[in-house]
Formats: sequence, C-alpha cells, structure tokens
Amino acid sequence: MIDLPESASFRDPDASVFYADGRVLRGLHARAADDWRALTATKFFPALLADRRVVGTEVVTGDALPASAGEFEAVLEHERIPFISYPYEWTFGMLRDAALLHLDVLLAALDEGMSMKDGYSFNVQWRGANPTFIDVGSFERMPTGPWIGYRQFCQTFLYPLMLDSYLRVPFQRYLVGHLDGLEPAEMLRFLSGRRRLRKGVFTHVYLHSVAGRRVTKGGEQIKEDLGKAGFGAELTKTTVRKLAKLVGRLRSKRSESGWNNYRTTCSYSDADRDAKATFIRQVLVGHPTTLAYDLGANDGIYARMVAERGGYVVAVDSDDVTVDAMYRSLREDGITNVLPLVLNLVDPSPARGWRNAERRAFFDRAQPDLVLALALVHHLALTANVPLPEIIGWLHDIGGTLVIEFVEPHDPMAKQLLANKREGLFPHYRIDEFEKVLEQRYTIVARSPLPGGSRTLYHAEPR
Amino acid sequence: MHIFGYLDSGSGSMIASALAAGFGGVVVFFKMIGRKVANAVSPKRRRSAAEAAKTAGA
Repeated sequence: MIDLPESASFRDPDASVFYADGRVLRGLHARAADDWRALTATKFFPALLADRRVVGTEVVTGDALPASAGEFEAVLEHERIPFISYPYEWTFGMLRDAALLHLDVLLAALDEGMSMKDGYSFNVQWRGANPTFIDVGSFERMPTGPWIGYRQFCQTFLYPLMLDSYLRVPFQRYLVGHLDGLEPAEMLRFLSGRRRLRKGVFTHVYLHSVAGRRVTKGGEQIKEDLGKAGFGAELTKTTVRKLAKLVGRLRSKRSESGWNNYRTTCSYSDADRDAKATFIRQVLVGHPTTLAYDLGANDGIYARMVAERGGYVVAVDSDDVTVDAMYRSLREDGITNVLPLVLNLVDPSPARGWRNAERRAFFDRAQPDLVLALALVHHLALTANVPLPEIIGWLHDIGGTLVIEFVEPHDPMAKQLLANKREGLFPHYRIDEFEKVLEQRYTIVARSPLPGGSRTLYHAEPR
Repeated sequence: MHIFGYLDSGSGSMIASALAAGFGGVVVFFKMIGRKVANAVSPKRRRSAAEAAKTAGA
C-alpha cells in the first residue's frame, strides 16, 4: 500500500500527515517527537482526549507501522473525521465555538508548560455539531515570549467574528477568498469611526495594525526580547484568557434574529411535511446510510430523520442564519451525527490553496450513499436559471440514492420565484419534462404526490 | 540560539499580543524598550550583547 501525503500538511517541517490503507497518520521527526513525548507526560492531554475535545490519537508500533514509517522518529494514528469542512462553511456560532475550543486547549497546555505553534481556524474540525481540535502536531514545549499563533488567531477567528458581530457582514465570503484570514490593516479599514470603540478593536485591530506597520524587526526577535524582559507563561495566559472573554461575548445580531424565528415558526405538523417524512422513512427502510447529503437542508428536520437511523448527514444550506439556528438546535438536542454547513449550491466551495489542493472542493471530499434534494430544484431552476438536465446531471455526478422533490409552476413558492422573471422564460419547467430528464439518468423507484397538490416526491436510483 | 517557529509570528503581532495582556504586558513592553535603550547607550552592555550574539551564532 502506497502512503498518500495529506495535501494541506507541508508547512511544518517537523511533522506531516499522510494516509495509508484508509488510516490517518502523522509522522514526527526528532523535534516533533520530543514535543509529543512531553505532551504525553502531561495531565491535560489525556483529559482532552477522553472528552473528545482533541481528535483520538494513538502511537503506532510494530506491524501496524506504515511503509514510510522509517522516515520518522515516531508515527501517530488519528481517528478519522467523518467529513472535512472548512471555516468558510461554518456559521457564526460554529466559528465562535471553534475559537473558544482552540483557546481552551491552549490554556490547558500553558498550565503545564506547553504551548501551540499556531492559532489557525483549520486546526478545528467537527463531529456533527461538536468541535474537535485536530492539529496534535501544534503542541510544543513552551518557548519564551508571547504566543506565536496570536496573529493567525486574530486573522482567522477573531476578525471574521468581529465582521459579523460589529458590522453584520457574513464572514464566509471573505474567508473563502483568504485562507490566511483578514490582515490587521485590512480589518482596521472595515472598522472606522465609532466602531473603533467596540470591545477588542483598539488592542487587537488598531494597535495590532499600527505596531505591524511601525516595527520592522523580525517577529521572532521581538518575541525573544519580550521573553527576556519577563513575558512568560502567566502573561501569555492573561492574553489568552482576555481573548477568550472577548470571543465569548461576541454575538451575531443576524443569527439571534434567525434563532428567534426558528423557534417560533418551526412547525412539524404541516401535512406536506408529514407526507414527506413518511416517504423518506420508506426510502430509508432497506437503505443503510453511511453518509448522506441534505442539499438545501433549511431547519434540518429531514437530515435529523436520516441521522436517527445511523450514519452521518452533512446538511447544507446557503443561508448562514438558518444554518446557525440548525447548529444551535442540534447542540441543544445533543445530536452528534448531523454536520450543518453553509454552502451556496450554485457557487459551492472551490479547491483552494497551494496547487488548488490544500483545501478540497466541496463535492470532491466524499461519496455519499444518499442525497436529499427537497424543495431545492425550483430554486436552482427558477432563481439561478440552471436547466433541468444540468441539475439532474450534477446530482448524478454526486452519486447515491436520490430523494428529490419537484415543485410545479402553480405552487405558491414557485409562483413567487417566477414573478421576478420574464413570462415564458422556463417553458421546460414542467413535471412531465422533469420526469423525462430524471429517467435519463435514474430509475424512478417510487413517486408520491404530496397532499397540497403542487409537489411530488421521487425515490430514484442512479443508472 | 534563536529557535524559529515555522510560522512568522509578525513583529507587530508580538507587541500587540504583549499589550493585550493588560498592565503586566505594558510593564514588560516598556522594560524591553528600557533594555534596548540601556544597551544602546552603555558601551559595556553593547559589547556583552555583541559577544552573546556572536556565541549564539557560533
């Protein structure tokens, strides 16, 4: 078996992540191996592993070692994350909880003479709605001076959160274009006038930007000078505690309103909803699901239904406020196998980073065995003008059993969408045409008109 | 010997991070400035700093 390197693991020369026979492995060179030994001697690390706040990690020995083990002083094996997601697909609440987890883990490390090499939001992944810290190679024995990951933390966690909290601007579209986050000087331009009086802006944005412009000496030299002047672990902990307090206080007014609407309008008694639920349950019988995509998941009710029967569901929607409400409700209900993500299906996350291989395009990351496309086709066809054969071809490329809903042009929602378009623009948007196109790529196993009279559900298997 | 991380911590970021620690951080920051000034004006300290740098580079 050939070991495959992880395309995002090349920046730290002391360690690298790779895959062998479906296993996730991390090879450690001498310095990283010393840090690992120091880490295993601590009390905090086993505690974080036990409560799953750090990804499951074990040392690999003997026959279990992969082919390339000889290159390394030690090899670790990590628990596999069911679906890899990136910060530009998370909601405000998810990014904030991931930031707080990162800082909590750092504080625990600082208490026992360890620190972290970075403060990157990509160090966190999700098991459903639970964040877990995955970059075990980030732990190092405590160097002198302030935390080296401070800038990265500001750029990839704090500033995006401030964008939403202080300016009501969704951060996802900025992060997808800037894997290193927002620079302090760039962030400062967003925060003019009275906004500079908001909590944390003066220190973490203004001073940060000004100091970056004025001080030209290398960061490592300054860090060492500060260390010699007495900046030790206690002061680093103070900085981290203050950061955690600031992050914990940030609120998204957009998400708060979405959450209030979610709780007041989320009704499960609608006749069409009940009929949909019955149909999906019938499909699920005899279809054990390992990974399902719910495309256009809205409040996530059908994603939950699939998740109840086991497997893992990635529930996506383009409205970050709706997805944030879904995230909150999943956390409240303790559901651990539904991952809520923000994704515009007409413009999904592309391949990003070095050689376009560091961060994979959304639909290149996994192969689902079930796809739910409920109340979705009319949005793609009538709002985004995607032709029906394109939509069905795209779903077929994703693969898996398909549960799809067709909303006829006389449905009130379809009428609302059509009202904004020239009359006669969609002559092919009809149920007979939809079925014809569907049958070119799929076998229709079951078909069920909903009681409302304007929507039909299909269970289709790919040809 | 300097031990560099694989990440450039950013000079301004290190100062902002120190100041973000509040009063204690500000005290350390000015102490660092004081040490720099003392090194710059005292020939003895300047010589010992140069020697220390030479030893570290060797």
